[in-house]
Amino acid sequence: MNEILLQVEKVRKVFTTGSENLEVLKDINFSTPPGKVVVITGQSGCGKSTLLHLIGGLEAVTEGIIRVGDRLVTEMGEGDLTLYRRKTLGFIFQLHLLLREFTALENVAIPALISGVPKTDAFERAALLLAQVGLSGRLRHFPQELSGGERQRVAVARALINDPLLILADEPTGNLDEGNARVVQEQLFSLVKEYRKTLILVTHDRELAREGDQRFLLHEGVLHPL
Amino acid sequence: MRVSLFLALRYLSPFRTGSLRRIQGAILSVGLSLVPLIVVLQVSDGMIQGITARILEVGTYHLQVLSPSSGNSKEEVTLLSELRKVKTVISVTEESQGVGLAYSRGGSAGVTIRAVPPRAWEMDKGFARFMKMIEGTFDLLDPGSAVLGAELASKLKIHVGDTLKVVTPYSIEGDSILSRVSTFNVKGVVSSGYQELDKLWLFISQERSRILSPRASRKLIGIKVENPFQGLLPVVREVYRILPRSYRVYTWEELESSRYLSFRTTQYLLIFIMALILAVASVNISSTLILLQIEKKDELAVLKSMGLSSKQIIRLFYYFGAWIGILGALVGVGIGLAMAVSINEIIGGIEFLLNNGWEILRWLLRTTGIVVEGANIRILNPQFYLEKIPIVLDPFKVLGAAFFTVLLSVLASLLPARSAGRLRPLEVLVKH
Ligand SMILES: Nc1ncnc2c1ncn2[C@@H]1O[C@H](COP(=O)(O)OP(=O)(O)OP(=O)(O)O)[C@@H](O)[C@H]1O
Ligand SMILES: [Mg+2]
Repeated sequence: MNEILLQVEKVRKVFTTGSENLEVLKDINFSTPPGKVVVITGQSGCGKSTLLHLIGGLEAVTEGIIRVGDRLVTEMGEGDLTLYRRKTLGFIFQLHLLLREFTALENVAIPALISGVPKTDAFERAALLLAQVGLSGRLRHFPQELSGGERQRVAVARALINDPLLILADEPTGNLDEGNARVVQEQLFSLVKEYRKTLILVTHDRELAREGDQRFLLHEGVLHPL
Repeated sequence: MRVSLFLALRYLSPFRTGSLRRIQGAILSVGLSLVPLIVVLQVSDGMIQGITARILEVGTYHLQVLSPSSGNSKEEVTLLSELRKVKTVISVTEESQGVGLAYSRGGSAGVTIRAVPPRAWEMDKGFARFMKMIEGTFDLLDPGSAVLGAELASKLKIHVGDTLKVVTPYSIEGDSILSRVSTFNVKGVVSSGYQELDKLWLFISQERSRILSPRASRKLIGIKVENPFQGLLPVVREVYRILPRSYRVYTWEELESSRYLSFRTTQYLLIFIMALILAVASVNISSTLILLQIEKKDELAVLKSMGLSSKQIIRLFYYFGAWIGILGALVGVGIGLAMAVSINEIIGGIEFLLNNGWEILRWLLRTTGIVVEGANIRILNPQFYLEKIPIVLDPFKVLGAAFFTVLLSVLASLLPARSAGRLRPLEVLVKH
């Protein structure tokens, strides 16, 4: 099967602050089939997060095309983007960004609830995913009651609950110590493999970078294959 | 369950860490601002009744039937007993009213002569309840007796046992007025609580009503019902059915319309002001929710990146507003009702404090050599008010006020809801 899940074509992104134009991304081109891990590395401030945000529809491109499946992200309106984030994407951020007033179980279930999954089903699936990241004993814990690594594992489970085609992870281990980073990494990869997800992973972490099926260095607004 | 509601319920759960604490202030301020409205709604009717009840009982009656000139008295007797049979009617009193000039050795005064049944005091419990006997008894069994209003008695300088002469016009023909002089024994002095009425009222027995010229007096039937403030119209309809065509019936609201209307206007104005206070307090909700929105910016951005739509975020904030409104309404209704129910005790307590404070002040001034005279303070002058404000709780008004509170709260969350909905996820996420 030679189908393409994600295609990024001639993407350019210019930030305008006041009178200054900052061309963060000049000409980004890459594509990836389903079920692959794409790793992007690069210096701080080179535009890695920006690229993820463009793919996630959180920010609009200046030029170029981003296609996911047969849909053009770059052409979507607000309503379509909302649905796209709901059905197709899972985000993992450097900081876990869990909701404080919600238990681990609820945090994982929320994306499913947002996309209209019945409550019992959502919680069932959330419990299963939490068990898979080794947190079956922490379902009723609030984020403040979890360690940094545990929180990030909750975030991994959360990104997977809606069975997204594409997971966008922005330095998921960036804030963790070595030990925790390896645990999160292991679980992320095993889940991605198990559910055959496409993962776009931004990282400084060399260990993590080694796991990619495709690896790129982002430098001066252009992707260089490694 | 809708996801916005799910989120709102969790955010606002008292068992979770935080957001409820953020909105406590808003809940309290809305609740406390609702208190005056609830109290006014529940007490003002009672106060109006308290102020109005006295004048109705001592003079106006609840309904007045005006006879067409001098009716056939036999016909009238059957009419009275018919009227007494009407549901909720408790007393039916015949009365003739006219004017005259009373004089004694002490002086003279124009009077309103009220010729009432000799046993009016016994027949009309409301009359006896509100009329205060200052001297003697309300005894008109002897056709030669009279009872005076207190002001009138003091103006004429007469007391129980004295005699009194009354000049009344008895026929008016062309330009000339013929008058007659009648003599009465004073049997009692009463006070209605209204000086302007006590200055005028002279009660005599119905049997002497012939001293009043038919052309300078009016004959009425005063009707009292169980509750003049409720369900008067069916009685009016029934009375009209019984009466021959030429009779007219007036309700007390018509007879006292100027007085009553000014009370009502005052009441509506008060309610309006109290509602305004509540509206101002609901601005608090806006600012609280804006703060909450700022505080929750990260979480809202995450929710948005997970596909929560702007509409759903707006709805979430409406739920916050409604929740503040509901809890605020509970607080306000609770405190408000408690205050309304004990309004008499509260007023008593305030009087007690004021008077003691006043006493202490006077005592302090006396030690410095200043002597201040002053009567005790009464907030509700018992001359005009009932001793106790009758309290009738009206659940519909409570529900109305509570609904109004929730509505205002939701309206107040409009602005923060909009601004939360407009939040772009990236603005927040990029900072991490
Ligand atoms: N909304 C914005 N407006 C203006 N400039 C922006 C905006 N977002 C990002 N930038 C700029 O674009 C550049 C790339 O930012 P980005 O966050 O993508 O870097 P990054 O590669 O993720 O860096 P790091 O490894 O530190 O996370 C930075 O110089 C940043 O200041
Ligand atoms: Mg970054």
